[in-house]
Formats: sequence, structure tokens, C-alpha cells
Amino acid sequence: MMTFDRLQADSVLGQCDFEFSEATFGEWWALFPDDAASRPTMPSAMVAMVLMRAFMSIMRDRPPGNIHAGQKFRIVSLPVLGDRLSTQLRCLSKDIRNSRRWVTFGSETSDAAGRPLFFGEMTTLWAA
Amino acid sequence: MRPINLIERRFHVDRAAIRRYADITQDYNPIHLDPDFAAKTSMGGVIAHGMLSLSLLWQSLAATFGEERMPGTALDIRFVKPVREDDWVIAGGMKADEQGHYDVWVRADGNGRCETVIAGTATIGPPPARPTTSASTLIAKESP
Repeated sequence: MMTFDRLQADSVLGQCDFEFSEATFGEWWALFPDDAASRPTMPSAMVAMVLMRAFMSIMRDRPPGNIHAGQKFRIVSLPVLGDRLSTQLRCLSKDIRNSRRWVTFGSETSDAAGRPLFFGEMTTLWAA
Repeated sequence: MRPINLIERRFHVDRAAIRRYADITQDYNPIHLDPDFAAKTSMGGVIAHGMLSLSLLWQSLAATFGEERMPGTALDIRFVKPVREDDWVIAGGMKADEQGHYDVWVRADGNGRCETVIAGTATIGPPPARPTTSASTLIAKESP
């Protein structure tokens, strides 16, 4: 279990690959039909989905009950259909304030050539 | 000239939408999906994924400035309150200064309330560089 004590500030937690495929895009615009207009480019709203998939995959062994308190994103470029993306997840910092366990994760999503596409920073209250 | 207000985007967060977002993100936390489990937590019932509502903010920004302006754009938000099943969420924002900053928000309307659930700032990137050679100069250059 990846508890607060086991998380190390300024460390790489893992990497997750993802293909921006027709199937994934289809799942997305079934929920948000207006985003189909951006095709073949990934709509900006999907950056959150890419990060969450990576987070769920890399942090599979996390304690239940964590709270997502804040989020930053910065988009450099958006991929197009068929692109393969890779997201690296880091633990940026952890600290205890007011008896609460705060953990901040950083993400960097790049294309197959290693060019950065978008960055994320997720602030959480860690449950255990 | 940047607009004062962002074009609003709204979305009905029903059980089917929450389930679909869970499938897309592979986030199957029972607080989003299991009413019995969620009722026993401090949330007192099912809440939607925060990132589902955050997606609406990107859609509001893209509707206002165009998807082509999203590269170079940044968001910095706090999840202030949970979104509950059957809420309508409305995303929008207002210009904060002339340097490309907008105060952005998502509000939940439903279940007998209307309140801010996400608050923060968006920084809009500069417009894409225009070609330095206009069509008219191109024609002039190509003319004998």
C-alpha cells in the first residue's frame, strides 16, 4: 500500500503509455458530443482524462478515501489521433498541515518523440 | 481584444455520465459509483469525479478562444465542494486583467442549491503566430 510514509518527495513513481485512438476518442465524445469538432486533434478537456488514467494505473496500490483538492494544467501542444503518449508521474512534495497529509503529484505527458505535450500538478489530501 | 466573459458550458451529471466518466478514466472509486458505500462516507452520498467538472472549464475556454489557443493556456483550480448526482454543472469565467488572466469557476445547480464547486484562474496563451508573408505580398512576389 502506497501510504503517506512510503511516498518520497521529489521521486518518480512511474510511467504510463497511452494511445490516442479512435476508440478512446469515441468514448469521450459519446459523453461530450461537442468535443467531436476538434477531431483529429485531442480536445483540451481530455488532458484530465489522460492524467487520471496514468494516475489510476501507476498508483493502483493507494489507500482508499483520498481527496483531490486542487489541480493545475499547462498545455504546450495537443496530440492528434494515432499519437502515442507517455505520462510520467512524480511525487513532488508531501507535508502534514493541521493534522492532514498533503501530497502533491506532478505529471508530464510527452509524445513518442519525447516532446512535452502537457503538464499537470495534482494536490491531494492523502487518506493514510 | 479578449472577451470579458467566457462562453458558459453546462452539463447534467447523472448516474450514467458518472459511470461513463469512470470507464473513460478507469477511476472506479466507490464514492462515485456505489450509493450504499458513498452514503456511509463523510460525503453522505455519491459525488461525481472532480475532473469531470474540470473538463467543462476547458470546454468553456475552448468555446471562447478556440481549441487552437489552448496550447499555451494554463489552469490552476481548487475543488471547493463536491458535485452530486443529478446536479447541473455550469462552467464559466470573467476577465481578471489585461494580461490574459481569467477568474474561472464551475457552479453546481440542483439538489436545492446553487454554489461554486471549482474556483481558480486560467491564463490564456498568446495567439498563434501569424504567417509573416501575407497572401497579397506572396502574390506580389510571385508576379513577374
